[in-house]
Amino acid sequence: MAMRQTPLTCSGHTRPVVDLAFSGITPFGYFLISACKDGKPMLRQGDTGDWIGTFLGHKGAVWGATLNMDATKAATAAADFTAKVWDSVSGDEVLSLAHKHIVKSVNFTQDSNHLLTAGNDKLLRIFDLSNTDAAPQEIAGHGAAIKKALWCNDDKQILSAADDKTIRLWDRTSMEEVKTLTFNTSVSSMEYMADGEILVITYGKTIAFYNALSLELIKTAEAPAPINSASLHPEKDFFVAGGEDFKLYKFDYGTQEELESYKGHFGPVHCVRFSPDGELYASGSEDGTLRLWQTAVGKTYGLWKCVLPVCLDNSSESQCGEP
Amino acid sequence: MWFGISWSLPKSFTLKKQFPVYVLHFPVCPSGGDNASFLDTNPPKKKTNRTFAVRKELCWKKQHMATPVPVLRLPKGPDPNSRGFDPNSPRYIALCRTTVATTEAAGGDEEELQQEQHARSVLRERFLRCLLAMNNKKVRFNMHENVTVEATFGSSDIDVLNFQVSDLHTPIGVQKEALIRSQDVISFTFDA
Repeated sequence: MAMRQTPLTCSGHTRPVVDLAFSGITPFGYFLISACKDGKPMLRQGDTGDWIGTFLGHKGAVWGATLNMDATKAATAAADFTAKVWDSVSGDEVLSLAHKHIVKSVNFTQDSNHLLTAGNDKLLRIFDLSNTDAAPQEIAGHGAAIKKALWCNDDKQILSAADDKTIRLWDRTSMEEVKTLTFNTSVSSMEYMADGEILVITYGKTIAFYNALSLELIKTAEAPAPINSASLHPEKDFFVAGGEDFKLYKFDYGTQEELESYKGHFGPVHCVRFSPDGELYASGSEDGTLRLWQTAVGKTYGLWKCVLPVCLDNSSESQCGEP
Repeated sequence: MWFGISWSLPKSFTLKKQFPVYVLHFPVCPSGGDNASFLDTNPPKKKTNRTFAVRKELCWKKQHMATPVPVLRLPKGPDPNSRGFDPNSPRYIALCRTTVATTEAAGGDEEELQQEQHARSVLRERFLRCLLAMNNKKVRFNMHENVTVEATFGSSDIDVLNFQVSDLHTPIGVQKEALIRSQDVISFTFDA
């Protein structure tokens, strides 16, 4: 029997949710951080959406947020011209890094020792978190505000997407530009997958997949509406996209065929991310909510419960039947 | 009956001179809710002028085939009274270090550690007594940018993130009630 997707709505924010990020899988599960224009980024348990804490301290809209792999540190980028590093266990602010303009993106290296920031001042900055007194390394080159900056290729290179309609690949050691991709329209989002070195880019109604090392196009897909964000499943079976028509679309990665579309949000979807285990994906919207969606609809996972009359799941703990 | 639409006369109809009033009963479809995926991915063959039979079939399929996945509960929302990060959670207990690390003596110099813990508890107690003593007293706050303000101290919140004060004398006027962000304060003084 076909099951209808039941999204889990995580409320708490009072303004649009503009960015979200998952941590890696830790002994305590995985976690989710959401950036919101209300200036109060929140940490949540990744598989249930339960609120854990709010990082208090920013004095402006928070445009970017990230967690390190083991979810011990969080970093946020805000309109108050600072990027902050937080202890995500206690919620305390550890570091405040001043910038000259709105900061839009933050990203940890895999060892969590360096932080990459980027924003409206068109510069990429690399902060050494073990030596905070030292000035950051700066990389210039973009002609307009940088929307997203990510470490790639085992933290040896940097990818940045800006409002000058380009995506640039930089070498960390030489601080020089290696390659540039130019588009006809501004790129709305960028996601990097280390496993397979795949870059997921969205612009207009297109979702494009590139090789992150060579910046060669792998494939593209077209959605029915302008897309703000897309995310690829860790096993590379599906990808999901959300945009201006408030809907989430699920596509098959192999055939680029649209499989499903889900309504639920009451505003444009700003960000979509798959969880590290691929069992669910989270979306953040203009309506101020985050929603968690199942990849395999009907499966028992997190707060979702299997309901088939003859349960195919052999686990003795699962309960089947109507609640 | 004609393709699922029934016609009936309302029971209240009695006046013979009035024109007959007929009530239409359409087959009831559940509200589309959040998920319109079935219709999106299985559009009817005739794009215009769908027959009532096709509509009825689609409604029946939607009602009988698309059962919403039940959930155990909704995700827990934020606590309005605190910023979270429960110190009793297993993760906090396992991972959280104190903000000022204790001297860790390998092999355990128990006496030194105990003295340090005693000193810490004395300092904590003094700070809390200080906050109590300040209640309703005139306090002078030294803040960033060489700003000094005077106010009548009220209380602090549990995380010592904000101080509640009354009659705050600022360079631009007097605020009857105000919250001072503790991270903006360098020091404060008062007469006990």
